[in-house]
Amino acid sequence: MNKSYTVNARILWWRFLLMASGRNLKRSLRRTAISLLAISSAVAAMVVFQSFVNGVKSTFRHNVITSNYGHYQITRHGFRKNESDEPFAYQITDAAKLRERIEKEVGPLSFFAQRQIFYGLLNSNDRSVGGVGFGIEADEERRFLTLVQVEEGKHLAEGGDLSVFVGYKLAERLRLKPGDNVTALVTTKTGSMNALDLEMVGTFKTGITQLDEGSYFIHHRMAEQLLKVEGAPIFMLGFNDDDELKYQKKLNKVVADHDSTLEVAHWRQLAEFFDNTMGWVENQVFVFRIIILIIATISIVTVFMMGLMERMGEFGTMRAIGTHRQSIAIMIFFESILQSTLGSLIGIGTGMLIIKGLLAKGITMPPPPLMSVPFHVTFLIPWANIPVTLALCVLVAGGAGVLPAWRMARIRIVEALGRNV
Amino acid sequence: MSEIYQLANVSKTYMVGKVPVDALNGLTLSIRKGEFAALQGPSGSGKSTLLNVVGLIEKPTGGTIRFRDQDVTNASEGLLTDLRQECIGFIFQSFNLIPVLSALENVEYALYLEQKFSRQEVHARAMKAIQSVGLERFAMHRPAELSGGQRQRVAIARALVKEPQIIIADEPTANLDSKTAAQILDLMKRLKDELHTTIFVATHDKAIADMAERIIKIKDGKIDEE
Repeated sequence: MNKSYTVNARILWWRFLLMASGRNLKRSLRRTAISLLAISSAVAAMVVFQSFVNGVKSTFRHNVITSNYGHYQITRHGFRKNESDEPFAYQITDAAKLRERIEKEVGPLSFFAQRQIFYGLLNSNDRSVGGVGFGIEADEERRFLTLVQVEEGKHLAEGGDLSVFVGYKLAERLRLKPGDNVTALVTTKTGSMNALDLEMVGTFKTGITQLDEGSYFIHHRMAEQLLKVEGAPIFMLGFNDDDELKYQKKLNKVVADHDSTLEVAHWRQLAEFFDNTMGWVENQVFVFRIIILIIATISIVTVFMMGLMERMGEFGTMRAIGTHRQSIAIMIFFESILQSTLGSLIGIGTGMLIIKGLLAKGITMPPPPLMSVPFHVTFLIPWANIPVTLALCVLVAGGAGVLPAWRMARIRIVEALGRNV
Repeated sequence: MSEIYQLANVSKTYMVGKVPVDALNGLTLSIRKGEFAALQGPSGSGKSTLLNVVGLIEKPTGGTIRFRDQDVTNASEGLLTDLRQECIGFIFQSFNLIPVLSALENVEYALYLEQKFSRQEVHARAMKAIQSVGLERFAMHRPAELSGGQRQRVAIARALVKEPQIIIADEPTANLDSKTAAQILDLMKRLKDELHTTIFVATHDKAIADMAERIIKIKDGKIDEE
């Protein structure tokens, strides 16, 4: 009984201190406003930076998926490792059955396409250039790989059997124009040379430098004939749903069950540059955040300390009449936390307003590493990060009050009393 | 009357730059329970330092201090704070009220600080103290809205509300006009008579000295005359 009475009295005392802290914030509105401005600016900047990172991530992810990778690719075990030595040893031939099983047991597919990859020369206008050829199911791919933009002419899907769709940079090197003839010279499965005369129907731009500079697409059925193979070593697929990760476990199981020599690779495993690029962006933003937090903390401590110095006489009185050091520190810490919470909330609101107002149209970014086209970033409110940002800022800005609180709690009472006028 | 304070050979030396200055110089003094003692002396005689040492705000650099038969010369900061909180009431020359708190809350502060009363008790005791200094109409006013005399009355109520064993006052009427100063003196005397609180007051005010049961004169950090 006694114990709970003491606890109640302690709660009352803390409540009293909290009330005094709140009033102290209202006491010097100009100073409080400066502190709030410092905190809210820092928080708003962090929210905007985070929304930028989220926007970049989302756009970049979409670009990578729809430029060349799909959500997942199915190959035989060892294909990616040994493909250059034995390019035709990993053909998969039952595309239709596999597609049917995936759609039935995993989820609805937006596209499912076979891809034959081969290496050979493209010859035109007395020029020969080595490139990577892809035998694709053009109608399927066109539906999903929307980032493969027609730069000139038309898409492969609109061309006849003997059409070729060339990366725009490669076309430049070959001086190709739509309608030009070009010869693909390759080594077949049996090791003999084979050639195919094709008509260049158009050029494409994916934004991925490697593809734009050195690859070309022909119809899959023509690639089968050219290379004397059946099927394809890569099956690409994309789900209707953008949250492809939820299908991963089931997809792995169904594919392995269908044929134990098959494996599934998520696009992020294939496009390693995505994680590298995002890591690069996130690290930069992390450094910005640290700088912002340091500047904000220094501003807050300075402004806060100035206010406390003016109240030193008051702290002297409190100490003289029997207030313990920790109570003084707690009161100042309450002020700091109240201020940082309020500032952080204002900052989050301001950040959202900036995102929805000034940056509503997004910004165009220069091409990231390994990509050749600028891309447009839409700022996305980082809802998932807001609680963390809020907690971090309250902690940092609130923590900025620790040093002033500690200093004021340790003042010499006589000296402080001398400040009372 | 038994003694509430016993100071023996107390000295206090401050460093002003690199020069040591003796504010108290082997001072010996006893203060009895319930007495009204006035401390007088010229500026720089050590009055304020003695008040600070007696108020357990400052530790002496030499000698011993016994408070309620307990040697507190080298007591911890925490114990000294507890003793100030529970046993000593302060009245300052500049009133020293907390500006963001109302008159009533300034008085309540002293009780919340002790962390042993319920909210109702705190309020009732504080209100009674405010009434006893005649400020019930101004209970919700902030210090800035009160006159000097009213502020000093709030400070007295704050000092008295916890029923301290001693009240230490430093020139309590120095910032007040003579009429208000007389009211404050009456108040202090009445409270002293009713509560039998020990009062130790540093003053230049002749009226206070006339009212005191004992006058202690200090010069050069030593008791000069009683």
